Amino acid sequence: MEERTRFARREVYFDSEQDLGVSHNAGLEQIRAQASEIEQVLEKIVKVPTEEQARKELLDSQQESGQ
Amino acid sequence: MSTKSFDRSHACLFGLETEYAVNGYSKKGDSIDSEEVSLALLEHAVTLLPHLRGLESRRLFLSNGGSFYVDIGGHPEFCTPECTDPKEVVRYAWAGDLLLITLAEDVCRYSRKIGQLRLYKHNVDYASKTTWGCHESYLHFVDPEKLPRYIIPHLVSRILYTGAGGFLLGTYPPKFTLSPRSWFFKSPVSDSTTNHRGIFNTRSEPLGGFGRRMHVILGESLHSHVATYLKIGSTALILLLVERELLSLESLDLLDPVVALHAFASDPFSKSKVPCSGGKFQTALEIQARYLDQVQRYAEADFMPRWAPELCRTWRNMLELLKEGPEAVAGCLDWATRYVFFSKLQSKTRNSIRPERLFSLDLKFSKLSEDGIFFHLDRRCLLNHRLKGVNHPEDALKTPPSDTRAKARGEMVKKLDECRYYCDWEYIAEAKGRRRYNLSDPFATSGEWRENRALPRELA
Repeated sequence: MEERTRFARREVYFDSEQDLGVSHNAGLEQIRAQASEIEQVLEKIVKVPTEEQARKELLDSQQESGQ
Repeated sequence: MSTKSFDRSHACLFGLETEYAVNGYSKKGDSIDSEEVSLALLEHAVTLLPHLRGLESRRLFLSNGGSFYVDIGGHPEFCTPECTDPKEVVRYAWAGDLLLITLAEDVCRYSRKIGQLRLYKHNVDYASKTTWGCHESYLHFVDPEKLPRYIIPHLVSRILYTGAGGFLLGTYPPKFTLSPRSWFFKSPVSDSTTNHRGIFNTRSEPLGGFGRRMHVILGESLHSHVATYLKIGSTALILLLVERELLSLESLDLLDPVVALHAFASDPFSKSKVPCSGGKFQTALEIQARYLDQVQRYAEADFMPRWAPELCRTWRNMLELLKEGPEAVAGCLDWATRYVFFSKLQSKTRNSIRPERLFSLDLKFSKLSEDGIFFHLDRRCLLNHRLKGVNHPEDALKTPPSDTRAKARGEMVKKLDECRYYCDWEYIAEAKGRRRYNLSDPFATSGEWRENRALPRELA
């Protein structure tokens, strides 16, 4: 199963020793820049479905209630 | 003989159950009943992994001490083994995702009937207006009658970092919410997990003969590792304070927990104030800070686990970032990552986009495959939700934690013949004989065989 794993090792950690930016504006700026990068990537990769596609997707994915 | 007897200073024990959503299609593209698809996943797990069958026919116990089964509503569910460190829970839950993805790929490859399978780590179905969840279990030693008052304000306010994000049903244009599942909770306390769900679930089974299990059903399945870590760790540490009567309720007692839950779930900026006893009004951030201040005061105390100081630092960091608004936590929290995308989309389209299109996109965030949005962002290293020391999920599929009864269970799963034994959380038993391998002590890393007076399963 190992060779089939799709989880690459990450270098970005929330709890890294580097300052998260809580007390430094530079850190916060970095975080905001990251949020903006996420927005840009999402804008590029996410195709908003047509109403018909969306309705089909929602109907297809219906679930029974769980716990 | 048990190698480790129970010790109150080692009392943190918890686990996580994740219900997934699944859809299957035949080779011709026809839809297949979800329960049938889940059972195909289960049957494939039988061929792929060492296991013992559970007392319930649709449950397997695995060599990592956890369990994979088909739950109510035909949802496939993975339950982590019992852990004593929240980072371990994150690692095992990650292993659960890996297991489900692998099973789904294999079923599509080998099944004669199923040609396509979609797997989601999601919590609500906007079409059928249903929910399923991600439940937590904690060992505790508190009077069950007393517990709701102390824990409900935490469960209600922690959605600041435990919310999955999504839309509130029945609003037009669809209103973003931090926690779509929270709107299915209508009372502060209830014993039901399927109808009239309560913020505090009163299912309180004895655990190991000396403690009880607190069963939290308000949680949502999350992609963010740091959110799952904080969810488990903060709740466990608060329980330790309640046990020792060290937690003050001053400014924490909510006058109406359900109203507070929905007010907090509606507010990505955490500005909403809700009434607390004594005439005070508090935001979710203020309530969380009040809990954290009290926990941090004792973080280095002897009764606290070794991971408490680190958890408190991460908790504090998170609350500080949340003060800066959703953008500051986009990339590390599920709801905020969704929020930055949807708020921009809705503003760009001047809220004219049809609800179905938004709901469909929301679903795509949770898809566990290459075209899933979280999946994609993660692969591009754009998210910063991971934790140092949480890695090798593939190993966590095979190896149990080293310091709980999951170790004994996992070792027995590897050793015993699945045709001759069956397994439950508290014991392993011979199917035809009367011997039972006792696992009742949650901290014992090996069990012991005992004669059992009850009839063997096959005779019973």
